Amino acid sequence: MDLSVLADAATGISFTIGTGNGGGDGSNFGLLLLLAGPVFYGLMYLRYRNSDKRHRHESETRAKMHDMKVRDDRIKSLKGVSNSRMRGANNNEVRGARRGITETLGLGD
Amino acid sequence: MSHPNPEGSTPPEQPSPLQPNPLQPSPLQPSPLQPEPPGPRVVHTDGDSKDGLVKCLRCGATEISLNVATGQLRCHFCRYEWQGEVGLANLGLDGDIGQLSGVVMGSGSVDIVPSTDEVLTFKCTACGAEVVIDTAHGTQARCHWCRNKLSMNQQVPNGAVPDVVLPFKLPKDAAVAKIREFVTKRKFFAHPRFTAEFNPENVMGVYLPYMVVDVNAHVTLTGQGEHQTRSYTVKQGDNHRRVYDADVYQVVRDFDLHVDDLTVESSSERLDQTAANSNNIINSIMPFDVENSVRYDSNYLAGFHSERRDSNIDQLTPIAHTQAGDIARHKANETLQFYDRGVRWDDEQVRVNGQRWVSAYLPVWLYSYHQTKSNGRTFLHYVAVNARTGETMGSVPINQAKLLGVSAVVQVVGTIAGIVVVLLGG
Repeated sequence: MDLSVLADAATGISFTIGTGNGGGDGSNFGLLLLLAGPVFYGLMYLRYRNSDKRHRHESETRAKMHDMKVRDDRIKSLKGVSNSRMRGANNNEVRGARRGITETLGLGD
Repeated sequence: MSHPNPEGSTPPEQPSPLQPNPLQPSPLQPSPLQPEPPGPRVVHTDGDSKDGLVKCLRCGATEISLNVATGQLRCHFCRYEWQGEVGLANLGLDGDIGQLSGVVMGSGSVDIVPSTDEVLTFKCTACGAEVVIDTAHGTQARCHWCRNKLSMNQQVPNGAVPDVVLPFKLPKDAAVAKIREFVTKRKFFAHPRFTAEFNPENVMGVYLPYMVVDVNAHVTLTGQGEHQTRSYTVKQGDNHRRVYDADVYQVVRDFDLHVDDLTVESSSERLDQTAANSNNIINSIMPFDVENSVRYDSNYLAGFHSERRDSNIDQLTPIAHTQAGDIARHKANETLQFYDRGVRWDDEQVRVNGQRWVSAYLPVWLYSYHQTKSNGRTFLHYVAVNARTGETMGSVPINQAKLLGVSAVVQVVGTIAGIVVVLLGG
């Protein structure tokens, strides 16, 4: 049985816990300990197989911006939102990786 | 510029302090499209190249190869060394990216004609015998009659002769040491059969085919960004919950983007990066210092293996343009520090005004291991070393039983510790 899916899922869990949205740091740590086995497996799998590694073309390629024009218009204020990050933010998205997230998770055809 | 402030930061009113260069009302209008050039402009990179005997400049021998220590070609007969012609700049393929218009390509990057033979026959210019070169595996062959070495340097449309080659710089000994170090750090859970058979001396020097692309694009990104103004906790029943206040901005970034030496694999086998192979390992050792490439000369390949290009520009353009879009988005982040909660681009326009394609052979030290699993399936693992920068990455077969056993022990210990933490935390 190829356990790469388990490895990636476990690593995903550890990342999710690590970047959780506020509140209950103690309970998050407790949850992490309860999932220690799969998380350990995932981290070791990636350390040996490096199936998540790729060329970071978006940051490792030389590029320069010229004639920058900017517009920043405030349109509204939000009060009391629970997410620490903007919903739908995609300014760090990478679409040109040769092996997409679907493949990394072993969900491709 | 992010400065979360529990008291609430003062948001920038109009105009925002983030605007070093306030947008004029008109420039955001899409500029009229440039008339498309009639077709790609091909720069001939094999102008005075010749096939056949390539002789030492001093003694006339044909036993020439790369001296990795100096990066120069060396005659094995008289030890004379000389430097190959610097590639991109001398060939006119390294000019100002801002001036690029339409498609410019080296003649070694033209489309592969499917009917072109892979195995070509040359007449030995020393003795007249006919010598066969299998271009799938190299561009040199030795004349079986007079023992001279014949080189193929002229480009035929089968992808065997690229525009430029980046010579090996890292010697084999150094590559072996790097591979050994990489694997030694991963021995505990490594498959015992791999550990027993591991022999990094079997590493192979391979020139792999790539396309190097310069892109001149105009980028307009439109969307919304959020800046946090306050972070505080609120009480909900018996629990406390952290919440945030934020200002929402309409954000536009409009700029010219010059991408230099974006590198894409041009072998269909290496482009295929799925969970079923470890080609991502070879992908991950990029980038290369492509600007130090030299004009193609088969003698640089002597003693090394090579893989022929089998993908055309049309097939690689979507990848290159998508990656240029990624680069645009990430470069724009340099102007978005104010939006500490992120930016959502709703509209992204990346108009490629000019692009320059150069085919290149780039040097990789490759250690491969063919694993046969207990279910009969096979998997090819690589440990690859960038033969210019020394960057090393690899895939090591895992002893699944051992890893699962240790993970189970970790789970038991973690469960006990987790219960204690949850109970104490509760």
